[in-house]
Amino acid sequence: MKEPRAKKKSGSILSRMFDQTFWLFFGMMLVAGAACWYLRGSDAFFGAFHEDLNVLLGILPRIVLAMIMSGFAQVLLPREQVAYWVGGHSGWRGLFIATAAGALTPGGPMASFPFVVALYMAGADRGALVAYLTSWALLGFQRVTMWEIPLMGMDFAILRSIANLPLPLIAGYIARQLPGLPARVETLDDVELKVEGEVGEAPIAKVAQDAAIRAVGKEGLRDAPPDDDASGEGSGRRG
Amino acid sequence: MGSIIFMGLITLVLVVVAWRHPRRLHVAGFRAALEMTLLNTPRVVLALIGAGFLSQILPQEAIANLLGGESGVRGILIAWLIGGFTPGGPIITFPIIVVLSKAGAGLPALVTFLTSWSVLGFQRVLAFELPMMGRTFVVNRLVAAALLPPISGFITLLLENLFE
Repeated sequence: MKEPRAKKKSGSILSRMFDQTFWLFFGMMLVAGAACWYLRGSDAFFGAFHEDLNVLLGILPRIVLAMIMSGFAQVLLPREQVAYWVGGHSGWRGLFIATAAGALTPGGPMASFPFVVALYMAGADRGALVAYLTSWALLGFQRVTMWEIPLMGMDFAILRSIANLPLPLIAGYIARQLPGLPARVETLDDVELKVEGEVGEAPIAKVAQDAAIRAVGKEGLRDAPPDDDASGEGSGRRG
Repeated sequence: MGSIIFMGLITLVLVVVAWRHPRRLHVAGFRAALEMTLLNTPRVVLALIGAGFLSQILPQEAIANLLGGESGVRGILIAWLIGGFTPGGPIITFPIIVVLSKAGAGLPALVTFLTSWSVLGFQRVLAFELPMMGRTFVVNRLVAAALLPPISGFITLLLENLFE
């Protein structure tokens, strides 16, 4: 099956929209709001709420656009290329590439996270993604030129950049070594498996599970993969 | 506004490329885009509001002032701890760094603070990373990044001693 998206059962999208994760964030919001009211008073509560709504109005169109970009990037990114350059076998080269890409990515979290999701879906490994995010957060040229140089001066920016230069590589390397969470997508097969997992719903856990099962060779442990390959392929190719 | 137009253009290009693709990927693209939008937008909205409340509970200035005029190894350790709890974006953080710098905080402490806020800052983790990437990835990345702030601080300390 070559189509990047497996067919989803109709109607399941709504139930997955309001899944456990959704209610977890809903609960977090309620607890944070209650704590804000209790600790800082009603003025702070309404002030924060008002400010949040303003921020949301401003960025909601960008969130939606970012999600659409991410969706299309997921199906367009050439899996074999991604796996080759920043996949599980890319080694230090993958970490260097991810670090360079992170430093060159402009914009805030709205720009970088959807890209990370798309890269992940296309088979980038976790070490490379951690290196990318760390590099974007620490070395991103836009923040350095917009904020750091004007406010702190060239000397500080250079000193801080040098001190931060090796950090994305270190973080990516550590992320790859962490036990219990194998993140290396081994083959195109794994990529296919992953795509059949749930987009955006703690996707790493699914891949990690698949990769772990694959690594120890206990195929029997895995839940039977969805057996609707044929229909998924058909609907993906139509139109 | 400019960024919306820019993102819209990129989206348009992606849609056209998918549509012209020999394998006619625009249907799959639309499905993935719809799914991404429906699944992630509600979570990010809730997470943003929640993180906004949390940042009210932990006002940025009060946290940053804990660093005060600290420098040396003590400054690095304090900056490491408080950086991750400092909410807000670069618009507020950089002016605060200027104030801290004038108050006498050492360069290693300032670099550690910036690094810690950048890689461990809770607001970005809660509002974007957790809803989109899931808990396993976040825990993994935070563990991998936990030691980076003091490393950057000690590198700065080393550089400072080398060039003075």
